[in-house]
Amino acid sequence: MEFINRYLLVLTVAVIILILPLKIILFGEETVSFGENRFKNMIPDFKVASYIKGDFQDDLEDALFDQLAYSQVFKDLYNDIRGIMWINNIEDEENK
Amino acid sequence: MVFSSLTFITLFLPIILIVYYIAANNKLKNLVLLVFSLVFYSWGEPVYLVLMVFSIISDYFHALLIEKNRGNSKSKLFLISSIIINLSLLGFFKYGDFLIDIVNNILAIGLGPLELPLPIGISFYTFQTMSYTIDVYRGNTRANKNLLEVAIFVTLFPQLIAGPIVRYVTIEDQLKNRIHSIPLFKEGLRRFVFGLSKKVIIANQVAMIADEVFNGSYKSTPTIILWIGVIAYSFQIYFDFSGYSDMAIGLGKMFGFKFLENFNYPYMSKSITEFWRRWHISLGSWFKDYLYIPLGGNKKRKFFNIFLVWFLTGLWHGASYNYIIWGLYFCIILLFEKYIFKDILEKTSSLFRHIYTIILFLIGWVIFREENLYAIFQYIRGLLIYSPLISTSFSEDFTSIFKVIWYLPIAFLGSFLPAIIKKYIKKTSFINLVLDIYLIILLLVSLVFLFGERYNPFIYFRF
Repeated sequence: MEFINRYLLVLTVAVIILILPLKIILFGEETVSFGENRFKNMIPDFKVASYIKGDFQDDLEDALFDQLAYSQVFKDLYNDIRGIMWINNIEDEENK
Repeated sequence: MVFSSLTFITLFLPIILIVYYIAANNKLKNLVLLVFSLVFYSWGEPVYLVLMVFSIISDYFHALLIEKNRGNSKSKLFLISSIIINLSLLGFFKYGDFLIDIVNNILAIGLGPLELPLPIGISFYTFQTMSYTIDVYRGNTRANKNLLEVAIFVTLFPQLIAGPIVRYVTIEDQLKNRIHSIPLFKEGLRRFVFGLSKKVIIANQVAMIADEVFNGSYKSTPTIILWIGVIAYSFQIYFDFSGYSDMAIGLGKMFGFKFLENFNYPYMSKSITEFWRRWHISLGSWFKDYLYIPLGGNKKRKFFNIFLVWFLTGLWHGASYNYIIWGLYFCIILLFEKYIFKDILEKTSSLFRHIYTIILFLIGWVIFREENLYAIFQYIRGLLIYSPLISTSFSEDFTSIFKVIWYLPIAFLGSFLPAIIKKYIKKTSFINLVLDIYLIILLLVSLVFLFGERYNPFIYFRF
């Protein structure tokens, strides 16, 4: 019990956090999202000019959103939760 | 960089933790922290990194000069010089356009606005660096000759952008020698995950309600919708800001630092005086120790001192009239509580005092949220003068709000339940295990929301 109490949270969180980017390192990037029927955002090349403008940072966040392990699973889960819990975004309501 | 971004959680945090814990000694660990903290700041504000570095170097040398000249008049001159430089930077970047606007209004001259973007976290790190030189001047601490340590004190990424405002004396010893342990790391991780979930699962969701109400026209909005809007905003700002503070304190612990608490369940308060002892504690105590008491506290010019502190507390939050009014609004209530209502309040029931406090801080949040003075008036008028919820307005405009309204009771419980749990439930091994499993679930749910909603700005980032 003592061992579990000491390490369960730390190890589990480490695994969850590390497994997400590890997929990109081990298996490379994917180009197409079949679930969303579009090209995925790719990890941008680092350029000082684009970093200063903030474009690199935005592009990287977009790429992680598409390329991290289980990203599609998380997105689908999010849509399911919204459906179950009635969380329809106000924008969705307005777009109707 | 935002704590609740995928870049931070899946790249920055794992990389810094790995490099930090590989570093052999505290000096190397400090170097790792400094480099990563500079990257963290530059991520959102590459150009203004220069400004922050200038501020650090300026205060480093000023502190040394204050100490070198201790006991003679030059010491005071260097302190004044340091304060002027810090406040000039803050004034120029944060209040420049506001002052130009005032001058244009008074003198009717057409000065053009500066339109400079606000350096992220400038209000927080300016107050931190000022507290350092003031404490050195007062003899509360010694000037640090190690530039690296002073730089880490200012740039330490957990508290750099939105506080808590950490004072040098709080982490002085930890900069040199701090203990890293699994229990402390785990405690920090728990706090981080808890803060993340407060931000992502609660604050961002109730924000949908608040945005919808505050972005509408208040003139024709039913009273109940206006109350729902301001209640939602009160939960949004609490869970957003206290969530950020939780994450900051948690991250600090993961790197061996112990920051002071910034919130203590403020919505449980029974008076506005108590509310301000529990809300943004680091800012309140900063103003108390570095402004209110040096001005004479309640011994001389007490009304003026209280007025000035609250005027500046309001102004600190932003260069806009509504923040000043917000500060003065609380100033008036606090004066009333201190000198007129005190005995009456103490004699009333606990429930009445809670309701009294809640109504007053809710009205305060209207002033805080709405920058347009006429709109503030309209909103408060709408809160106080009853306008019925008629079926057409319900069906046409507010259906979306009622679909997510069930979030409000969750937020309500979240604003005080942890305090009760902490008080009455003894932490056994089993409870700890249950808590850890609960936090793992919270992390997974937070990740789901992070992938679902990509725009996660913190309210206090703009201060």
